[in-house]
Amino acid sequence: MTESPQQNPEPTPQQSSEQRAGATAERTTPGPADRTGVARRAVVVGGNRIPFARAHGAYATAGNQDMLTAVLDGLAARFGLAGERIGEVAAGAVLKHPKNFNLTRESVLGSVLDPRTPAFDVQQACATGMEAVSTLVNKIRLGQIDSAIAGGVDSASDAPIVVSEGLRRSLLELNRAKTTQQKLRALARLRPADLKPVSPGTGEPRTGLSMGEHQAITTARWGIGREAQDELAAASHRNLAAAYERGFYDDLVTPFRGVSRDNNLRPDSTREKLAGLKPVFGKSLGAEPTMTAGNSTALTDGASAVLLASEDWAAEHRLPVLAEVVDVEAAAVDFVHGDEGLLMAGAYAVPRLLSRQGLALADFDFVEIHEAFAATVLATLAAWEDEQFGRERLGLDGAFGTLDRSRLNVAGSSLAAGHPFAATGGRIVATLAKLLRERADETGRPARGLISVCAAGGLGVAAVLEAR
Amino acid sequence: MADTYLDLVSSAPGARLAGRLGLPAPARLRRHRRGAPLVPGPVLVLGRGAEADRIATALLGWDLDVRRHPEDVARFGAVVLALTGIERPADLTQPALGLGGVLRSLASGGRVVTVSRPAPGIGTGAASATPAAAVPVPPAVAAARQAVVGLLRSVAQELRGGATANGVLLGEGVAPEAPSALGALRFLLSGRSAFVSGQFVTVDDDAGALPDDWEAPLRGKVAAVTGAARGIGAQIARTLTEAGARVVVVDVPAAGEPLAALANELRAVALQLDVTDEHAGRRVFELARERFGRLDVVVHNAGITRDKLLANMDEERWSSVLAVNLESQLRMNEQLLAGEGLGDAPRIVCLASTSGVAGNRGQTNYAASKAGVIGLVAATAPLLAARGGTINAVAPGFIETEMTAGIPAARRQVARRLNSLQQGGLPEDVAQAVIFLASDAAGGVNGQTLRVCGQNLVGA
Amino acid sequence: MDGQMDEQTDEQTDEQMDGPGHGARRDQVVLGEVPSLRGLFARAAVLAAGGGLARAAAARLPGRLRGDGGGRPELPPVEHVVEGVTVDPSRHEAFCRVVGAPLREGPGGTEAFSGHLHALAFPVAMSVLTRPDFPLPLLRMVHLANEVEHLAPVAVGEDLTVTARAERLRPHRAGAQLDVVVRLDREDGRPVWTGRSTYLAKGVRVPGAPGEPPRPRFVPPAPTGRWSLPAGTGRDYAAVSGDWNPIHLSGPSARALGMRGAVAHGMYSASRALAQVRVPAGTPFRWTAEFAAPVLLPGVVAFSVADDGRGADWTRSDYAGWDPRTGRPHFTGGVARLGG
Repeated sequence: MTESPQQNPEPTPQQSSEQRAGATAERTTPGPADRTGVARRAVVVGGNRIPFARAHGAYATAGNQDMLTAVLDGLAARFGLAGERIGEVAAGAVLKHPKNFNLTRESVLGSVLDPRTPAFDVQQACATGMEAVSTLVNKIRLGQIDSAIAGGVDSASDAPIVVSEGLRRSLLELNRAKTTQQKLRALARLRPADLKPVSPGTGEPRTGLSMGEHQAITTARWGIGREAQDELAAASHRNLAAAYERGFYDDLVTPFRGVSRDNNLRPDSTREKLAGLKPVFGKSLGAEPTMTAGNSTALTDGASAVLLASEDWAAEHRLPVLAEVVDVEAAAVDFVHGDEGLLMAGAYAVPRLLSRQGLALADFDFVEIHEAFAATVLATLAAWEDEQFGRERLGLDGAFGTLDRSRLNVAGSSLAAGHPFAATGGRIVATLAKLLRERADETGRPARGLISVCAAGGLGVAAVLEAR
Repeated sequence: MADTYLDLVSSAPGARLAGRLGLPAPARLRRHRRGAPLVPGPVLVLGRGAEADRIATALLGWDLDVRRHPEDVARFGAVVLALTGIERPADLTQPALGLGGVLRSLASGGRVVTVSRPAPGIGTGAASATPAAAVPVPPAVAAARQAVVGLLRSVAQELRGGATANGVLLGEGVAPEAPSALGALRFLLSGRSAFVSGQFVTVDDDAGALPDDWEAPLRGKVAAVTGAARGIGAQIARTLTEAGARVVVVDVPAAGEPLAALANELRAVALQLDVTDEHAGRRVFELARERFGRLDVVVHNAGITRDKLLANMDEERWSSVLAVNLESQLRMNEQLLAGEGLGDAPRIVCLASTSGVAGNRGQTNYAASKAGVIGLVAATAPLLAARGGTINAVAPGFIETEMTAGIPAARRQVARRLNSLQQGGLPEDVAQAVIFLASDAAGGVNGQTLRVCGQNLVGA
Repeated sequence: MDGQMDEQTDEQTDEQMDGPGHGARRDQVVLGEVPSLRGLFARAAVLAAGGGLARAAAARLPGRLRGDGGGRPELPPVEHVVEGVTVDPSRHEAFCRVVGAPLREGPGGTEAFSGHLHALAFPVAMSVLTRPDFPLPLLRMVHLANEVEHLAPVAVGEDLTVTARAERLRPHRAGAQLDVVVRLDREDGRPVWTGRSTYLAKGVRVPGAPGEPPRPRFVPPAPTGRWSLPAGTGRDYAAVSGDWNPIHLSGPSARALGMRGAVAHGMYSASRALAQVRVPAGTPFRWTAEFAAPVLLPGVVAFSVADDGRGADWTRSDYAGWDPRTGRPHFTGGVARLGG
C-alpha cells in the first residue's frame, strides 16, 4: 500500500452503493466500500453436510478427513463439480490430530474436485466455519477467486489423545540429548503417571471451566429459567423435524455411513419431557441449576461445506444463487476474570454489525443464533433487551432491541441437530441462505437473515445474508 | 449376485458335466462392447420382394457382410427374415424352412430378426397403442402375419449359444427404411439386446432419426433417472452417460451417499428427491433446465417391493408400492407434460416388470403397480406423440441385482433358469433397452412395453 | 494487646525490615550459600514415619519452653543472610510453568515472577526455622497467611541478597503463630521484595489470648475458573520451590504427619492465583493470601478472580479458591497496586 487512507479516502458506503447500482440491480443495504466501485457480490450457491451423529456412535470410526472429504464429494455431486477446479477451499476442525496438519488440502485431494484446487485450514473454535466463509467471501469480493468452498468438520469420537506433558517433555529432551548420561537423565524424569494418555478437555484453557460451567454462570447472571431453556430446546427439535419432513434438508444433507438424518434429533421432544432431566451444569453455583443434557448441545461428529461464488461464476456454471453474504463481524469478550460471559460475544458482534449496516433486529426475516446451550441464546436475547446492557456495554441510548422469536432458528439449530464444532457455521450459513431464497421467491421481495455464532475463547461471529 | 452356476458350465469340464446330467447349459451372452462388430458374422437376409431387398441394402449401409443365400458361409452372425410382404400363410414356408436350414450354423450370440407387419387387433405381448395396428386387412394376410409371431417365439426357444430371436413390426405404410424400423432392427441385431428374446418392437410411423454416431445415440441430450443410486437405476445412468447424455440422477434422500458417488463418477448432478413428493416432476425438470438448459429424457426407474401374500397384505405395504411405482410416475408425467418442462422430442421410459405381465405370487401390490405402468404408458403415448415425443416401458424379468440377491438361493437358481437364455439378465441389459427407447432411433416406437427377460417362460 | 498487634501487622512490616524493629537487636548470620532443604525434609519424613518425629519434637519443644522457666518462649534473635543469590533463568521458567505464570519481558529483561522470588528465599527462611535454638516443630507448622510486597521489578539473572528472620511468636486459637519475614535486596542495597509468612504451630501454648477476629463467613462468588489438580501437584511444586515438606508429596507421607492426605502447597495456590492477575508491567504491588482448608490432592478447586479495572485503570484484584461441592474456602487473597 503506497497510498494512505487520507490521501485516497474510501468512498462512503452510500457512494459505493450508488456506483454499483449502475452495474447491477438495486440493493437495499450498503456493502463494504471498495476503491474501484465495482465490488463484486459473493453469494451462497448451496451447501452440503452429512447428518450430524452423536459422538461415539455412527461415525465413531470416521476421522475428520473422511467426513470432510465426504461433504466435499456430496457438494460436488449436488452441483456437478466433479473435476472442477475451485478457487480455494477453506475449512478446519477444532479437535485436530497433528497428522491432519493440512486437513483441508488432504480432503480436497481425496475428493472428486480437481486436485489443482488450493486449500487451507482455518480454526476459530466453534466459529471456524463462519470464519472460513468470511475469509473466502472477501477473496471473492476482491476478485482474487471466483469460487470457493468453506467448510468445517469435527469428531468428538475420533478426538486426538496426546501423551502427558511430562512424557512429552522427557521425549523431547531425550531427542535433544547427546550423551548417554543426558539420555538417562531425561528418562529418569519420567514417572509412571506420565505414561497415561491425556484426552483433550472441553475446558477453557485459561479458566479450566468447562463451556457448560461458563454458560451456567452467565445463565445465573441473566436469571434464565429452566422452563424457557427447555421450551427453546423443544422448539429446536420441533423445527428441525418439521424441516426434514417438508424436505427442506433434501438438498442440504447427504447421508453418510447409513445415517440420513441428524441422529440427535428427537422429533417428539417437548418441554414437559425435557423437564424431567437432571441439571448437569451450574450445580456448585448459588442459584438453582437449570442446564441439562436436554437444553445443552450434545457432543457430535459431522462436517459441512458451503459453495460460495461470484455471481458471474454461478451464472456461467448455471448454478443457483441462494443468498449474498453481505457482511461479517467478529467480536470477543473478556471472560477470563468474569467481566463477561464466555459465550456472549455474539451479543456484541451483532449490534456492531447492524450498526455498520444501518439495520435493526426488526429488519431480518430470519435469525440464526447458534444454540451452544439454550441459555446462550436466551442470555443473548435478554442482554439485547436490557437497557443497562445497551447503555453500559454496547454504548447505546438504551436496549439494543427485541427479537421476534418466531423468526429464530426456524429450521432447528444445534440443540436438535448437534454441534460438531467447526461444522456448525457451514450448517447455519447453508440453512439460512436456503430459507432466505424460499422467502424471497415466495414474496418477490428481498429477504434478509442474521447469524450469530458464539465460540470458545470468548469469541463470536455475526453475519448478514440477503436473498434478492 | 455372481451366477456361479453360469461360471461353472462355462468351463469345459463343467459344460461336459452339465450335459451329461441334462442340466441347462446357459451361454455367455453377447453384450454390447464399444468397438465390437454389430453382429458376429455375415447376415443372411431371407424373404422375397422389393422390401426384402431394401432391408438388405440398408444393412449393407452399416458395412455388414450381407448374403441373400446361405451358401459358403460356415457361421452366420444373424438371420433377418424380411416378411413385410407376406399375404398368406404359405408365404411363410420358404423363409421359415430357410431359417431352419441355417440355424445350426448360427454363431453363438447370433440373432434372428423378423421384419413383418402386425396383424390388426391382436396383441403381440408388447402392449401397443399403435393406430397402425388398427387398419383392417384380409383374413389371410392377418393369419400370415400372426403366424410370424408364433414362428418367432418358438425359434427363440430353440436357439442356443446365447442367440436371440425378436421381431420388428412395421405399421401400415411404414417403410423398412423408416428411422425406427432401422433403429429397432439394429438394436435387435446388436449386443444391446442381449437379454431380449421372443419379443416384438412395433414401429408406428416415420418419426425419429438415426444418430450420426451409433455409440453415442444420446449425444447432446439431457436425461433424468429416478431410483438411480443403485442397481438397475445406477446402470441406466451409466449407460445414458456412455450414450452421450448429461444426466440428473435422482433418488430418495436416504440413498444420497451412493447417489453422490454415482453422480461424481458420471459427472452428473445428484438430486435427492422422493418421487412421491408432490412436486417431484417439477423439481426434476427445473433442476435439469437450470443446470443443462433442457430435459429430453426421463427414466422412471424408482421402485420398491413390499412382498406379502394378499391374505397378509396391510395397507402400508400395498399403498407404498403403488405410490412409488405407479402413482409417482402418473403425477410426475402430469407435471412434465403440463409446462415447458420437456424438450422438442421428449422421451419417457418407464420401468415395468414381467411381474406386471404375468403376475407373481406374493407380489399382488408390485404386479398391480407394474401392470399399471404398462397401462399408463399405452394411454400416455398419444399425449407424447402430440409433442413429438414417445413414452415406452421396459419390463425386466429376472435381473441380477441387490434386490434379486435377496431372494432365497434355491428360488433364485430356479428363477434364473426359467427363460430361454437360462440365466438372469444384468442391469446393463435393461439399461440398453432403456437407452434404445430413449433415443431418437426409437422415435417411431410409442406406447409399448419391451420385455427384457430372456423370454421368460412364465406369462409369455 | 493481641488485637492491637493484629492491627499493627501491616504497618509494621516496612519499619521492621528497614529499622531495628520492636524486638531485641538481631545478630546477622551470613550463610555461604542457600541451604538445601531436601535433606532436612527427608530426614524429618523418616523420623515421622517411624513415629519418631512427634516424640523428638515433643521431647525438644517442651524442654525449650520449660527451660524458659514457663515464661514467654523466645524466637532466636538472629537474621540469616545469603548474598549473591541469582534468579536462575531455567529454575524461574520451571517454576512459572508449574504455576501457569507467563514469562514477562520488561525493560531489564525477563521480569522475575513474585511467586518464584518467594521460593528463592524460602530455604533461607527455613534455615532460621531449623536452627537448634528454634523452639517449634517445623514439619507440623501450618502456613496461615502470606503477604508480599513486590516493590520493583526484579530481572531474571539478577543477583540478590536474601535476609530472613522469625518474629512475633504469639497465641492462636489452635496453638501458637509466628511470622517469618524475608527481604530481597538488590546489590545496591535497595529492597525490591519483602515477604511475611505467618505459620501456625498446632498445640503449642504461648502465653496470652488468641487475638484473631473470626473470619467473616465465606460466600463463594461466581467462579471464573476451575482448577483440576492432579495427585502430583505437590511433587511438581516441591521440585520447583524446594519445599519438600512430606505433607505435600504423597498420601502416605502426609498421613504420617497426621494429614488426611497430600495437600497442595499454599504458595502453589497463591502463586497460581497471582499468575491469573494481569498486573501491568513494572507496577509495584502487594500480594496477599490467607489459607483456610487445605486442598487435598488430587482435587478440584473452584476459583474466582475479580478486577476493578484493566490496564492503567487497574488498582486491585481479589481472588478466592474454594471447594465447589461444599463451598468451603481454601484460600482468599488479593493483589493491589502499591503507591500512587
